[in-house]
Amino acid sequence: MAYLQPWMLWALPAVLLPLIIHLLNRLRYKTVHWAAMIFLLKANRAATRRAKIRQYLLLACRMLVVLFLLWAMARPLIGGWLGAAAGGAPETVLILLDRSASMEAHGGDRPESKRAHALALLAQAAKQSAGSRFVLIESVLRQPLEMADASALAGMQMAEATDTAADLPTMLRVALDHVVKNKPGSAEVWIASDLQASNWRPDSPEWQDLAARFAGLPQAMPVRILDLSAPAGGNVSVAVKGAELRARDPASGRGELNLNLEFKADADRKGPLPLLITRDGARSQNDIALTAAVQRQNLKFATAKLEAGWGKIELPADDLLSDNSAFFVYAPPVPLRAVIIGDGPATARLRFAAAPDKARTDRTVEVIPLTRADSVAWKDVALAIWAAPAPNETVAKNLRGWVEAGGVLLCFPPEGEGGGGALDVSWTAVENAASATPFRVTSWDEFDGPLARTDSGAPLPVARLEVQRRQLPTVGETAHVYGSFADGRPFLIGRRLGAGQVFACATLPDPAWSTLGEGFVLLPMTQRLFALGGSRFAPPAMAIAGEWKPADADETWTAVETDKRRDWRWHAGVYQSGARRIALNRPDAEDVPDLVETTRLPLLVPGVKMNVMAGALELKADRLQSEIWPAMIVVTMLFMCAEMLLATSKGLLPQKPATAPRVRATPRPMEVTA
Amino acid sequence: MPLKTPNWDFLDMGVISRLSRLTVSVRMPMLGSVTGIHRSATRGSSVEFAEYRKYAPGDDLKFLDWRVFARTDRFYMKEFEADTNLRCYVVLDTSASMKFTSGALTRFDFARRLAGTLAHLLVHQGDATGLVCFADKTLQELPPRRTPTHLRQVLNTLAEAKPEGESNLSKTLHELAERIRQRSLVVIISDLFTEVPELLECFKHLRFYKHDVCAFHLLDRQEFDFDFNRPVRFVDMETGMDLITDPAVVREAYGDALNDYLETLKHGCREFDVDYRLTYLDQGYEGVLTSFLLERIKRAKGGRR
Repeated sequence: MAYLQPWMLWALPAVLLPLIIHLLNRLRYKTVHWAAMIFLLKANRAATRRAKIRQYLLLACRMLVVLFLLWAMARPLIGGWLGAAAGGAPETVLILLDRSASMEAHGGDRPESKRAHALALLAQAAKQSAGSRFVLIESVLRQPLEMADASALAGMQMAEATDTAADLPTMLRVALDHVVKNKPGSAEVWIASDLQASNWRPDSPEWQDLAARFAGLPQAMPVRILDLSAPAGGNVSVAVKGAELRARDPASGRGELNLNLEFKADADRKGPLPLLITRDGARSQNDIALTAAVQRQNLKFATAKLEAGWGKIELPADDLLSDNSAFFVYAPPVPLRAVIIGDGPATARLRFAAAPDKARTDRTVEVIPLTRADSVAWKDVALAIWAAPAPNETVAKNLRGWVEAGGVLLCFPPEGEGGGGALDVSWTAVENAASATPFRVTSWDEFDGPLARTDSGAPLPVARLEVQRRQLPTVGETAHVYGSFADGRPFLIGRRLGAGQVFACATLPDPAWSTLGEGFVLLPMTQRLFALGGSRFAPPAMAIAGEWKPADADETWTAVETDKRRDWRWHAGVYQSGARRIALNRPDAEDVPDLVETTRLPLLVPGVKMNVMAGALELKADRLQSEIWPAMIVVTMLFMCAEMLLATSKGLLPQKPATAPRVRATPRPMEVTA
Repeated sequence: MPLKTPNWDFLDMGVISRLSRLTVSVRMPMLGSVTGIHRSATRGSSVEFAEYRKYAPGDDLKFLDWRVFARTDRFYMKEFEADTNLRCYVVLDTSASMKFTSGALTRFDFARRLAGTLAHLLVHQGDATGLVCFADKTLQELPPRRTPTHLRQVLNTLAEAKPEGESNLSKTLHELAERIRQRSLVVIISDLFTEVPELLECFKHLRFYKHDVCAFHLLDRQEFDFDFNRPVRFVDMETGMDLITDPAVVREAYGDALNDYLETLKHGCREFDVDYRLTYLDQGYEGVLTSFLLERIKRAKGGRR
């Protein structure tokens, strides 16, 4: 419990005054020479336990009267959050404000967003802790900002809405740094957050480090959390996963814009959903049908020219407005080149898989035997397919340098006894399956990687593959298995190497080996890896707001849309600098409504006094921290009444004689007729 | 060598002169030694007719009712009430508890005024008055006499008496009951702070010998009200024993004990026909004596009828 006048608590020993007076009275007795001792001794023996209890109650009432009176004079504050600790206002209050996109949700029918509500609550709390110094650490810049007037928090630019994510562990780290640097006498951390799990990252090992740093502080630093979480309620979010402009008709120059959208909807939100699409300033509407909680949708638009452009997707207003729009930019495809190292029978099929449409000039493939591998100009290669034994040292060195620079290498079995392959890939000896029971791929990663579902959400028919021969690859301990056979052996594995990736497939697209050459798996797999490898050649088109920074700090990036005041540092949108454009969107994690359980919060930093104000959304600003002295006065009066009742009850008041005759006028004998 | 003159300041001649118009009477026939104003238990020659009885040889013919003889031809003797004098014992408690007062007048001063005035009235109406002063034992005892010299002796004894020592009322009364052989008026003036059953046994003993017993129970108002409001160390005036207590705690029990004592005592006095008079020290002793005398006069007249 906090107090507005905590110094009054120094007077608390005055509670003992009634007791001291009682004891002094007992000591300061007066001596009376008494004749009627016979009754007094009887009375003393008969002084009942009840009378003594009544006297103790009387004493307790008097002490409680003093206690509550002093307590009321200290002006205690309650509210379940700020009023839940003893002591006065701390010297420094560090306000950690979650400005992430999810804080713009209204959490029901409330007129204001969670962030605005939090600001109102914090401003009110700051008013009542007027003696404290307030330091704001918001989630985007994460720089401690000392505030002259914390009650004006709501009007500050640094507290405005953003489309970024929040990183609470890092914010707490900044707060701890500030405390260590400035060494305040007492400090508290106030966190206003919707407890989104992606912002708090409760499984992060950083919390252990934070707990150790909290424990290392010279004084305890309580943490108060305004829990602004609210149950999900009919919200739909949209995100652009990809915007690809393809040449549709090279002769006429017509193109096709392929938008890959992802919708996330709360459980109870299904049915038709109107989309407002703005493309280069022109608006159109498309209706889609929401059928699942997470839904991928491909939209294709014909373009008259193969030119760069920008656009945005908008959803109808719902609980969270900030996730109702997503931005994209698109540009003509960059010519990409792939090389296939090998000379086996599978190379023809691999070539076809890498560039199936000969009319497309932006995808070229070159087949090079291993003996000429040293002649490959790796610099402009997007994808390398290695269907040959291990290269020599020079080629391996070049190959490694290229992959680490961002290239994508797909390796196939070298058709031998096994052993080392390209880079760190090694192969086992060839295994043959019985003709009637070929090896089958039974599990694969449908969400990420080369075997993921298609843009329309359909799964690749990986299970249809029949593998007669296989050579099992290994690419190091950190490999990710994208697909595996029924016996658990890997079918397709991959690992990162520098900025690039290395993949290895366990069979060849050769009829003698498998049905992989039929293309239903090989084609999409190769195309995806081709696009992945080519992404480094395309200028950055889409990035995450709050994370992206211009390569040159002096560049000026302005919003394409001039009707809104946007800042690339924290607002989503399309920004341009000269002819270059970039679409910034909120992080995907902001669309995931998972929350950290409030019971888990204190476990994140054990040993730190943490007070979570649950249901802060329901709390009015003036109720966050309310004075309870009127209630204390009422309690005091109740105890006074109780004291009066006890004091005036029978047996405790001086008993006036009921039957004692009063002095009557003395009759004179003269008046009496004897 | 000049004699030391006792101080009789407890006597107020104005009060005595006013009260002398009233008679100190008794509620039952007495057996006196001389003729007096009180009804005697024996037949005598007063003007008050008592009864007829049959003649017996040897009877004085002076009291033969000749008219009855003339009418009935039988001898009847006419008998008259006898008037005799009164023997009164004033029993005065001189224990230390009689020193108590919450006002100006101590209990002993009040008792001395009552005793002195009563003795003066009795002697001046021709009755014999004795005095018994007691504490833990009988300290002074003057047998009843009706001479002015004796009255002076009684008053001197009262003047010199000092309240001190413990009280043993029951022992004193039992001894007195055994010592007094003749019917008497026994006036007890005390705070009666003893156990009620013992006290009632004393009254019963006195009444057994047909004494007219009157008890002036002297109480201070503070002893009834017990109006203390802070812890008090009570020191027993007789034994010196002390007790520290909070009056607020014991007040209720004290009141209960006192009321119980008074009720039992009043009931016992009614049972044994003792003239019990609860007297508070803030009442004037003149008024107390006046009502005492008047009630006795009324009762005595009623008895004669």
